[in-house]
Amino acid sequence: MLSLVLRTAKANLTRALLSSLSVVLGVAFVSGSLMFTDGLSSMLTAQAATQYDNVDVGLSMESISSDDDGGALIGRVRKVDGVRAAEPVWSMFNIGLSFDGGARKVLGDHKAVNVSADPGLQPIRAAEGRMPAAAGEIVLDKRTASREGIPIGATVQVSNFGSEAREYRLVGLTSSTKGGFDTQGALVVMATPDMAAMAGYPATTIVVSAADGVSPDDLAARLGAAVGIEARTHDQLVRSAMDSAVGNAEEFRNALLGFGVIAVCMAAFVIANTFTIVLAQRTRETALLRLIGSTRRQVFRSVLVEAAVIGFGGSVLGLGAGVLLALGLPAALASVGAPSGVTPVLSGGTVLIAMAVGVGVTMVSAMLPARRGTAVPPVAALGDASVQVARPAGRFRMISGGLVAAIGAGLLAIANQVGLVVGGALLAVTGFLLLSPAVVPALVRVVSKPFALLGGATVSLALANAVRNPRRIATTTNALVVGVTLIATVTLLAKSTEAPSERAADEKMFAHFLVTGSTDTTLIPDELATVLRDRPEVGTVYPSYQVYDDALNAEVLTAGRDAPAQGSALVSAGLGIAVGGTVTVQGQAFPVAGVRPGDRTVWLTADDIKKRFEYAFLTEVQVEPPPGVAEAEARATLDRVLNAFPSAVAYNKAEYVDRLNARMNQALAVVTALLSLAVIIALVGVANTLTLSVVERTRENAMLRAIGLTRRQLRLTLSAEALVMALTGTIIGTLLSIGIAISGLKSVAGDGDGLELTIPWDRLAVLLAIAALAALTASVIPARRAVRDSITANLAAE
Amino acid sequence: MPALQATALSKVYGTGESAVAALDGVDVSFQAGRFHAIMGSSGSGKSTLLHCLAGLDKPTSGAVRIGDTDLGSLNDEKLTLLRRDHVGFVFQRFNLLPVLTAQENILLPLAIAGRKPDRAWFDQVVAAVGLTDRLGHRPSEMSGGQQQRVAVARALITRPWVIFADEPTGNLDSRSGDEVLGLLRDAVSQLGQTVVMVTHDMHAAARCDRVVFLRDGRYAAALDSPSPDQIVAMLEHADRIGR
Ligand SMILES: Nc1ncnc2c1ncn2[C@@H]1O[C@H](COP(=O)(O)OP(=O)(O)O)[C@@H](O)[C@H]1O
Ligand SMILES: [Mg+2]
Repeated sequence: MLSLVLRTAKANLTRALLSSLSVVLGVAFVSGSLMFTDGLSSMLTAQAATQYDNVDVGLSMESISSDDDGGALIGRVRKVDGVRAAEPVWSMFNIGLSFDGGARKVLGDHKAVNVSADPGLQPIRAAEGRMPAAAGEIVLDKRTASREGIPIGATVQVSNFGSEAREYRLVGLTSSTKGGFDTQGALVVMATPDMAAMAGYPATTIVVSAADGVSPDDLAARLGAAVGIEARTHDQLVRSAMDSAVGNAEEFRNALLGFGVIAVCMAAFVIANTFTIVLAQRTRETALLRLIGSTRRQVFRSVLVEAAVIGFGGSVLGLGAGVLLALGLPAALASVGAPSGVTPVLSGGTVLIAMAVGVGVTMVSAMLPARRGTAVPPVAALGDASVQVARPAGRFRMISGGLVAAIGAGLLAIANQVGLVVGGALLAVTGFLLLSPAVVPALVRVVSKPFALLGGATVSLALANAVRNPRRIATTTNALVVGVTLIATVTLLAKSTEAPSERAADEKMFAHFLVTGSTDTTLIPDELATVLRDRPEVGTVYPSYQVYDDALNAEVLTAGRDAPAQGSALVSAGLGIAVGGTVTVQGQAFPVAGVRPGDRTVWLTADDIKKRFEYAFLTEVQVEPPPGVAEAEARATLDRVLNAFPSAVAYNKAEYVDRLNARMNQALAVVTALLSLAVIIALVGVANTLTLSVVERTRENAMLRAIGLTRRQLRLTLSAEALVMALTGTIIGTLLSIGIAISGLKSVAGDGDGLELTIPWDRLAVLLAIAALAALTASVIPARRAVRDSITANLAAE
Repeated sequence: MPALQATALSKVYGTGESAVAALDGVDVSFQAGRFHAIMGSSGSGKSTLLHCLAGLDKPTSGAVRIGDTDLGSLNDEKLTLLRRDHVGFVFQRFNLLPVLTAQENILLPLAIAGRKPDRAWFDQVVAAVGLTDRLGHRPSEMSGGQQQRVAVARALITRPWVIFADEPTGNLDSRSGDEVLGLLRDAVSQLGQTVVMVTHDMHAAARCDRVVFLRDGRYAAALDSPSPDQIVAMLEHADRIGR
């Protein structure tokens, strides 16, 4: 029996390859993700380990005790017997970095660390130049320096959010990086005195190097006893850093595998459909086997073995493709924060998983088709089984489909929390899938009307062919429907929740320039507002502050546009104070001048916030140039002032919109790219179905060619058939996603400030165009096959 | 002038050791407005000859002319258009598209060409083949004989120069077979069509104006309006000289 299976598989090599293509893609994604995240994990753990090079023992405090100025503690540590050297170390974020006298700012979430002047206690080594030995010297990571073109010897400016920028000389470059996920940020290494000055608070960590002959364990015990702070040895430090690094990599891997599961499910759809078609076409062969005495069980088993063979072949190819994918993933994922330079790792576990997924999914998907397809009575071999009667969809399926879809739609309509939306969406899609053999052909007829009018007889023929087996076209488009629904829902939600950037910028910006941190998380120094105000030539300055008032349990913000007068306030509706009442902030009663929607927020003027609060964060500054000053000139004036603030960047409205868009579009692009694999697999399914249909219609097509259909026309019929399938699937998916998105937006909008559905027509049009194009591509191979053989040979085909 | 002419027609399948000469230098011509049969034992090259004559297959050497068109001078596209506009076909089986109704099947060659049917001619053809009340049916709802009648109507709808039929009655019971033969006979006698039919059946051949005999891919003989007895004799004779 096995040799028969292998011979059948060999004879149907194209079919086998086609059915395995979806397996290949699914396995490629899963194994590629695993290889990439294994590589990521080993890179992160290596980073974590080198971070403690040369450190024998580390002391870290939960917080700085107020009576200790740090100086005393380090002195005590250094006196402990067995300590060769000890150094306080800081690790600071919110760092601003610029060069060229401040004119060129390095954007990114930078990290600054300090190293001891003692090389024996430096965990970082210089790859070029040398490490900082004295105040005023710094080292940068090589990647940042070469990207920005900063040469050794250059003067750079570094600031932290509380301090003024200072100038340093770049004395060396290191191949260490900031570590972790962010690829943009620089690593800034400075000498301890500079760091102490910049930080302005004592270090919470002290690293220690042991004297010769003292073991780290001994030293840690001695230090713990002497200074009463938890001391951890090198190995302990490395282990806990590795653990958290592996944790990070695992989170990343799980997110990727989520997409992998989607891809594999799509592949399962396609495989099941392929087997259904293939077995339908083999009815006569199967019947013949039964006629000459094979049991049904034998035939069923042989189909499963065939599935296993195909699954195995697909897995092997998929692993190969996975390697390519793993090499390409870092570039694709860089914008969502994956580090570059990850070398994929192919582990034995990945190979096993890939094989198990490929073979398992193929066999499981083939199970149901195999059961149906082998339930052929032996007499079928004698009849004329070439014209298959399509089984109509069962009544039970239709009724349950209608019910499930109705419940899903109902849930979507009333959903007021995300869980209900997800449940409703799942039910609605499932219901649709059940109803699809009835719904899809009907929709195909509608979608194809305009084409039929345009394309004449050839196209009408294609459409008649498309719907001749309702189950088949339904299953084929279903995969596409699911894929498109996923992508379109994500797109709609993303575009709707992030109100269009222009509107956001319009709402925020009332002055010409907006000055904010160089990344979304970078804070800007408080004195920036003061400095700008001292320079009348830049124009009018509007700082925005943010602070939390514990007593009021509310956020206090600067009211930008429509600000209240000095000494009065705006409040959010959630505070329950009406116009004419008063709100007390830090002991001062502010008359309420207006009420805005929202939960617990008070808006005051910038001056009132500064007067009332000691520490208020400066979030941004808006600047309106003096009247009559040209944009370029105002810009130059402003930038000259900002040169002293490496972390602050000025935007006009158009630039700010670009920045908002860039962030959102990058994330959306990555998610879309990951989901598009599902759509690609679905389109492979379209190609599959078409190819198998072409095989099935060999004689019909030959007859058509005989009575005068040209090669071109025959190709056209197949393209039209593919096009109609793809468009129908895309349209259904889009409609479903609109329903889901509306429900989703409504459910999170709970109290008042509703999110409107924004339909990004441009993106949907692109989606449709891509589906159409891909469908046309998908029809190329089947069409070539259809016109390849001679008419007479095809007329004689069995 | 003959409607159809083959000169030194040869067709070799395969190459080297396994090469089979299905046709070996056949010279034969078919007059317009007559009903021709091609006979011969199984494997004698009847179908191959028909396919080459109809431009469905390219001969290895030799020439075929339909009217004054040399098929060898046409590329695939031109050949296809020639078949579409000037040649009709009736095959043994699978003549019709299952997704189309009888009417759509009949009009298919015109639809492919994007031409409007001549209503009166359509009605005449449909009436002639007796399908007036079956036009809305699909092939799966019709008997084999009805299906073949649809195929004949489709062959007639373009008023072709010549209609080719490869064992059109081979799959039918004798009554349905007779009906289909009658239709082809009428197409020649009443509508002035030219028909070339491959057949095994001497009763079918006996209704033709002329019968061409093939033997081992070669032209063997031809008889004008033969009786069944003459045909049997000729087939036996052909067999005998074949030994
Ligand atoms: N496609 C083909 N490939 C190889 N040999 C063929 C092919 N078609 C026909 N033949 C051979 O050519 C000869 C004539 O075949 P055919 O024209 O079908 O005969 P007939 O129709 O008279 O039975 C036979 O020997 C047959 O085996
Ligand atoms: Mg034959």
